Amino acid sequence: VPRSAAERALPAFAVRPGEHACCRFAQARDDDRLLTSFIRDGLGRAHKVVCFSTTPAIDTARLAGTDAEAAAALADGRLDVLAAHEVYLPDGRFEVERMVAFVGEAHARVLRDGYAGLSLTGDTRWAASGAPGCDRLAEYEQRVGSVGDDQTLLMLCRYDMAQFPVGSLSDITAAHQVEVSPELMPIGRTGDLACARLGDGRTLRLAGELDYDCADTVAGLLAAHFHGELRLDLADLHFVDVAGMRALRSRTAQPLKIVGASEQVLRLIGLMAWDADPGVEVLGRTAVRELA
Amino acid sequence: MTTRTWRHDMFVYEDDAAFERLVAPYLEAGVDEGDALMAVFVPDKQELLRDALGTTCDQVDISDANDVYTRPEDVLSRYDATMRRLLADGARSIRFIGELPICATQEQWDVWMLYEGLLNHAFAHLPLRVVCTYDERVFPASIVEASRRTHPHVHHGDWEGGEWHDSAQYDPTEVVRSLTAEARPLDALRELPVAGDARALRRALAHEMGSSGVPSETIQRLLIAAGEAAANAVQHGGGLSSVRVGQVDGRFVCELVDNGPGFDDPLAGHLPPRPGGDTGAGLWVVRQLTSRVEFLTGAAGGLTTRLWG
Repeated sequence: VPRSAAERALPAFAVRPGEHACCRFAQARDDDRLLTSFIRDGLGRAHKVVCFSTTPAIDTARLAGTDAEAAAALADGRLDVLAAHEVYLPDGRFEVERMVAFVGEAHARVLRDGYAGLSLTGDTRWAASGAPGCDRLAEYEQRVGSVGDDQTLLMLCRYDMAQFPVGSLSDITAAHQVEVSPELMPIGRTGDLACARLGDGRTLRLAGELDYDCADTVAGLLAAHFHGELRLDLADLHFVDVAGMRALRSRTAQPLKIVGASEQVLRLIGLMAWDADPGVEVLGRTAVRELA
Repeated sequence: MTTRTWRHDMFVYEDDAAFERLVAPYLEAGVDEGDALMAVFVPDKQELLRDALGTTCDQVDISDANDVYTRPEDVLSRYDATMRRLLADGARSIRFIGELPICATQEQWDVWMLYEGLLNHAFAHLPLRVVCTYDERVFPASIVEASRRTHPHVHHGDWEGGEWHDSAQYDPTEVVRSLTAEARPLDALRELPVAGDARALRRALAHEMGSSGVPSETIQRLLIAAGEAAANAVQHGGGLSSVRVGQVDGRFVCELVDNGPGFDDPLAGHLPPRPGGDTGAGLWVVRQLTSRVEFLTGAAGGLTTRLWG
């Protein structure tokens, strides 16, 4: 049996190395869960994992107390939790060039140190402080995305919806290739399945395991938030059962494009006669990159 | 042109000449009507077919019955895929003729009698005409007689000027029901403790199969099959009450027991899913992914779905 992320007991995570992802969250538990998944994913990839945190002492204590792997990584330096305001606002002001350079240097340093890559996440609550330069956040997000366009940098920017005026995040969200938005959060709450919306807004990526326990949740979210043609990126879906497949096609009139189908998905597509369904199109594995 | 509807005819013959006098006009009429033509015979019968058809043979997709008739689940799946492909490629109707290979035991014959019964339900929605030939010289008389129950129309003897007669014995669903062997409890199985959710079940089964030396491809198939059986237990059976596993006759066996009343549908999971229909594919997938599926309803209630790896 291939050792999938699921079998290593990792929580599912839908962002890939080489991507700059944005997470907007409305509930602290979703942020905590995403942070845990992000850290486990990074450590599993032999990345150096760095978190810029608004409450570094609390986050450190929580991670050390609830997650043995994170605790070990904190102890031996594979995981750092740094105070966000000291990184973003070292002299009380936010400077785009300085911050982009900081990320670039951190990335280069971890590669020199022998890590497979850098997994970097930032809690952006500092930007709601009104400190000088905070209005350039969208510009920063645009530029930092080009720091690591190789496969050794994974960036996850976390936005607390309560801290930012409604509508103020659209430019910022658009600066990311991948987004995990609040309405998608229920998919991740079992820990077995994660999802993200790709930049085109129409493509849903699913990662982890999609089974009869979470099938209804997935079907409900697809019905509520994905209209018109639905595109699914299933390359990181390690397991799916029949109920899970049905959830992806609960609206038979909706055109469906699938990229990244595993052997298992292809087999189920054949067995369930989706290959005879003119509404379903299965694109080759290489199409994943094009969609992203 | 009229729309072709499903037909399933039985042709019983006693010599090569009679065989040839049926197949040639049957398939030649198909050429005239623009049908896609398929024939499935053992090599000896293929020779007769070629002699009878001459150059018309080139327009017939001929397969070896020994290769095709492996097990009913595979044949139905293969034919379903072939029919869909032919229709997608523009065929308006399909004309099929074939003959089962000779079986060595009654158990094997039963499997194929059940299959003949299923055919009437599996492809009844397609513009497909099927003729099954039965050679009285090699088929046991009891099998020829039993096959009258699975074919709505029969012709016995030389085709010359012949016509099809309705079979008075036709009752395919009852054939499937009576040939679905009653499953008996397996004492070799033991309880697998499983805590609630789908993931826990998967972990427990994967671990169990891995440590029993089950090949990884079989593990993947059984995990999906067990997931569907468990989903059915949750959706229709009042929840999963227990799981039993073990090795029987060199195969990994997994039983999922629910709290429900069970069901009485001998066709369950035997029929290929129809495109656009989003229900009913579950047990079909389960049958495709396992070597055998059995259902047992206990005296104290509760349906057991038994999956063989």
